[in-house]
Amino acid sequence: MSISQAPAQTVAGIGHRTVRRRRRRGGLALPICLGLLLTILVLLPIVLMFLGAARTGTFVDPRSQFSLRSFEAVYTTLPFLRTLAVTVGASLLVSLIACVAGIALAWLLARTDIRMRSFMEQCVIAPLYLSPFVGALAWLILASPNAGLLNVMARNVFGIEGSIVNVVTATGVILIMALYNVPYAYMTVSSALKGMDPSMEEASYLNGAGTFATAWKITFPIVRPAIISAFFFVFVLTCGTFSIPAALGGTQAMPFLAVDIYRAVATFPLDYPRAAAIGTLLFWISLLGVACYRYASRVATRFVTVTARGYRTRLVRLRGFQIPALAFILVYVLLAIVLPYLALLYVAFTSFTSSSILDANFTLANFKAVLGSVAVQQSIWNTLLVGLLSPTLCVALGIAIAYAVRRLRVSGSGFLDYVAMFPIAVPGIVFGTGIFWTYLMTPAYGTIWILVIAFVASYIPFAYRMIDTSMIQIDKSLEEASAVCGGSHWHTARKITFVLIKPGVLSAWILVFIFSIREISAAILLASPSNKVLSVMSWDYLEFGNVQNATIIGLLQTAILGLGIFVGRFVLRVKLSQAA
Amino acid sequence: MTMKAIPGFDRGISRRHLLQLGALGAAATLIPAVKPALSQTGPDADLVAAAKAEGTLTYYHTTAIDITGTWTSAFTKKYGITTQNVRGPSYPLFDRWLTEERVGQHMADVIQITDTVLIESAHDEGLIGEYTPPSGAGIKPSMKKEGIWYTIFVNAMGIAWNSQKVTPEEDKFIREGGWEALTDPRWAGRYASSTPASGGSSYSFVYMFLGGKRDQFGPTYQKKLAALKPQIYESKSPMYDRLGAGEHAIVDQASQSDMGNLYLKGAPIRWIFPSPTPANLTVQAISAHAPHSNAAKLFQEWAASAEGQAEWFKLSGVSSARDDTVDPRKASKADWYKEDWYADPADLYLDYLNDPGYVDPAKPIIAEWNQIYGR
Repeated sequence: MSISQAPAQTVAGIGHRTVRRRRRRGGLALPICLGLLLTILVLLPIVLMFLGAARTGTFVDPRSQFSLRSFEAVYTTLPFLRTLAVTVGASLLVSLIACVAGIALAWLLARTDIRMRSFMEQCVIAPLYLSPFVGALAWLILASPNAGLLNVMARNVFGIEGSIVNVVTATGVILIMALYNVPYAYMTVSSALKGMDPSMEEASYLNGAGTFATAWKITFPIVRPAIISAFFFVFVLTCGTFSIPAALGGTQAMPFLAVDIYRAVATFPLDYPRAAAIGTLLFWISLLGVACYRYASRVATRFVTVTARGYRTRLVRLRGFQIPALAFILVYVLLAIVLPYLALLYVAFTSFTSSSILDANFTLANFKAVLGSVAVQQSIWNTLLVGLLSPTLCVALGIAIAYAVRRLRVSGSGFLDYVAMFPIAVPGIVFGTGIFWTYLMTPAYGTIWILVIAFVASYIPFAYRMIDTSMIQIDKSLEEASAVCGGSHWHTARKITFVLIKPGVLSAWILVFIFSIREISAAILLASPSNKVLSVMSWDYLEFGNVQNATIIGLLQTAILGLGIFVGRFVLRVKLSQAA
Repeated sequence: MTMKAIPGFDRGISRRHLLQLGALGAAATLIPAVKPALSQTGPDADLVAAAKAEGTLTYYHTTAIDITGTWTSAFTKKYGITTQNVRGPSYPLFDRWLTEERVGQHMADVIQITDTVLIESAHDEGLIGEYTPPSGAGIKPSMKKEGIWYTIFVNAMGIAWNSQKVTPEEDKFIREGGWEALTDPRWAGRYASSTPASGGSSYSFVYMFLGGKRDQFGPTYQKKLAALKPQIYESKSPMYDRLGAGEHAIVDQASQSDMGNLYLKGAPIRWIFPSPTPANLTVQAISAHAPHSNAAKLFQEWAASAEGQAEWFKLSGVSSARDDTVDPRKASKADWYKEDWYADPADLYLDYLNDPGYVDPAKPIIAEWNQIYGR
């Protein structure tokens, strides 16, 4: 089985009748159930965010009343509009840098004869296993202006005065955000490159076009929708990013709306309406990005179908460019993985953060303290529980929505499709606040379930989109053949549809698993004694200046992610590098 | 000895008066012995039994995770009652608890905070459980509001510097210059501070300069500091880590407990407490609807006792809220007490808790500070 570019065509006649019969069977029960579920999971927290912004205090503050004061302040005053402009501008820059690097990496690994391809693919997506927050923390240790390890080494070894690299600046924040978004751009473009029909490139070569002309005139136009999709996806993610700019100096390095939201709910006077109003502002910007992303995604995915035809991709021979190409990938891996992990390992074994490796006090006491801590042990267990429950439920919901929308074509499919994508437009920290208010008075509050609910709601767009894409790619004639042969509705779904979308489902599971283990923004707001996860422990330690323990927690998170990825890669045979 | 021989006594004094005086004198000499004895009486057996039956309690705290965990484990070890510790920054944690209480999600049994004004406003709202632990009698009068909140420890805040990032001349300059040394232009780009909006201790620190001692320091002093363009942290603890690493040469709001811990880890840190020295109380109160009310009372009793407060000394270099609890390191001249540069704060500024400016719920000095620092 392979992927070709031929558009999916359904067989007329019996196939249409089967579809109509399925739709009738589905009735209204399924769309109503799914609609209600999505309304509670997704719409209610967003509605509460808007309502919360139109008050003078929290919903339970007896002195709080209706007011548009926060909306006015956020939407009409210069400081917020300036921050909005900086946030949008920086996010566009991050997307541009991440996409350029992602496209280059995807092309090198999908279309050239570069050496150690499989290993390099794993290396390129490896930054996904490191929490961006922990990555930012590592870069703070590496490249803060006075005490950054790289700057101190440059000073001590080469006598360079000042700093050679400084991440506590707007440029530094943008570059670090871009660094950790490259895998998303890479995965989207790589998937499109692997999904496109290479015979067109082959035809170009046969007609005498060179490598560059073929890439520019054939490959690039075909994967352009995927590139646009990746661009807006990274843009939306970046707009709502809180952990990296917060870890790299807060608003002092660069004003950023998500950091303003955190400041509004973390420093006196706590101003939840203002935080919610900033959240609504981000919501509109992100919604615009999501609309562009959805449009580009649709264009990108409608080309590919799974059929019985096969092609062999002709690889561009790099010849003398083999070394520069490898060097390019290795530099990326060095910056995104090797240096940050070395910094984390260094700090984890020191008694205090010393800028001079030679003067550092090395110790195992931090590991003993962290691993012996009952709170950490509980949070490891909680993390594992959330890491298993969230992706499982998220993927189950994603399958249900995708099947209802694509195969049953239930009434209100458009509504389900749109609402399922909504959370991507809401920054985690804002969505966490909405979830907090939604479930505050329910038994789920303070339990592990509120985190599971928050993560399922936050990541349903990813699971749904990946499963939906897998379903679109399946030629309906395969299912219709089963129906024609007398296969029941459920039998066909079980034996044909679900089997064919299995790779997409597993990839979605792994992706949501990664997100759930790393998530920090919503988890901080929803943390309670019985549901603390590792990311929250890491944040707590950092906030108390215990960088050593924060990095050890970051390493523990990586170990759990690594275990999950290992199981996914070698037991379930999931290729995350091809999932987008 | 005759009555005449006793100075100050008049000839007319009777034998009965003398006996009464003697009895009073004897009673007076007994008071210091009785006072600690009373405070050491320990909790009521019924309370202990009821608390043990509850078996657990939830503690919302703002102090460091591991230190607090070790401290509460001493309580667990003594009474077999486990604690669920939830850490958070002062204001968000308090607000979270307030919200939970208002909607009837009673999760916390005991809440710790560095801002007594907030505890008292919650008490006015009926959210604080009133309980007077017998051991609370030993807490200094200015460090408790009887039946409402009790101080666990007192933290003094001064100036700290990285000894590898300042010259010997600068070292001397800081030690001799007091608070004014911090305003010297030489610290431009080398100095860091923390916003008073981050929590009660930072607020208390800044309050001294813009509130209580405004005549001595005031906005002029803060403007000189702001002109140095310091790195401002949202929370002061990460600032200490960066000071130890050498990112900053000098910081203010250097708390005794944090500097002591950094020193013990080997960081090149020195600190002084210029006069007057802002200090801050870390207090705790019982939630009115504590799900484990007996365990909460027992914990409050233990935390206010000499034993509970002494447990803090094993973990952190702070001042006790009790007279009968002192840091053993100080007596033996151990750790930083042995350093020639170290001196205890001589003039603690703590009598601000009832200042109208301090108790103003709007905390106007935060807005003033933000304006001075362009935030």
